[in-house]
Amino acid sequence: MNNFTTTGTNNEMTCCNTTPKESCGTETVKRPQNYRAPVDVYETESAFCVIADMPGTRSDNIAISVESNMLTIDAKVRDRYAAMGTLRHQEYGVGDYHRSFRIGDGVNAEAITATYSNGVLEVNLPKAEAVVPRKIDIRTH
Amino acid sequence: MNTRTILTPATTAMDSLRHEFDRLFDRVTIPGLASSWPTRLLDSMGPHPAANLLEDDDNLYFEAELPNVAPEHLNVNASDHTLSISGTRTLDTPDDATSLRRERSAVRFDRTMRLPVAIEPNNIDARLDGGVLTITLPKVQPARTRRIAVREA
Repeated sequence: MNNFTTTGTNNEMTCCNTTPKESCGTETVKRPQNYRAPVDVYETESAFCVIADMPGTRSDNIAISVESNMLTIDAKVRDRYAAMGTLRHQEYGVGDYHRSFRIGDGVNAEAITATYSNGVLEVNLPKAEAVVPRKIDIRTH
Repeated sequence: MNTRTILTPATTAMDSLRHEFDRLFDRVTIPGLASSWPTRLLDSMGPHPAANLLEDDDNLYFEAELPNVAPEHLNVNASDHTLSISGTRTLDTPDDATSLRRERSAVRFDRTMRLPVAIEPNNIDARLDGGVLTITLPKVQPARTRRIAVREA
């Protein structure tokens, strides 16, 4: 009966015995899995809008950055299954989200805003003044 | 003077911006080419949403990701061995907007799952948090067996 101890435990023991300086925990640390969130992109006269499905995260775990004309969205998702027992049936994985887009000079990076609710992230990218079409009144004489 | 040449610079600014977006979004969405990240199903919110099922000693936990589904648009039904969810998901489109990319969709969905053990249909808890639906299904507790000491005569 005792022969059927889990291999994970055995490995951990070996690791501890042979190389005590090495971190024994590495075997059990879950590798972070990244997912590409599906997005819709809209353009209005004054802005672009990126809407992404990112269920299971929180607004303070989402990082949006603009660097060298790249808009990068990273969202951390906590391992919510840790306190829920064992997986009996799995059809999707739970992990962090990542998505990036090149945005060009037409966006005013300083003015980008975002909201997160019901698992949906909405990023608003106002256009730079230079590309917003200006309506010019035509005077009649 | 040629009108076309006068108009060119202004339209090019807009066009190049739009093209840049299109090109990049196209590049980004071609699986395997643009990103090294594993591609999740492009539209996970289909007519039959994916679900995970977890189990501990007391409960089964049914979970489905339903971003942008309002609780009032969601129905949960359970019997002792089945669980069904159904509802609609809507998309909020900004006013006067042109769509440049669509990977999400508005759907009417339903999903039924046969449960591996009997549950108490009257004692179910369902919550929707950050687009994740978690339904806690208490297992039917087997009639408690009691060990009876046998006295020696």
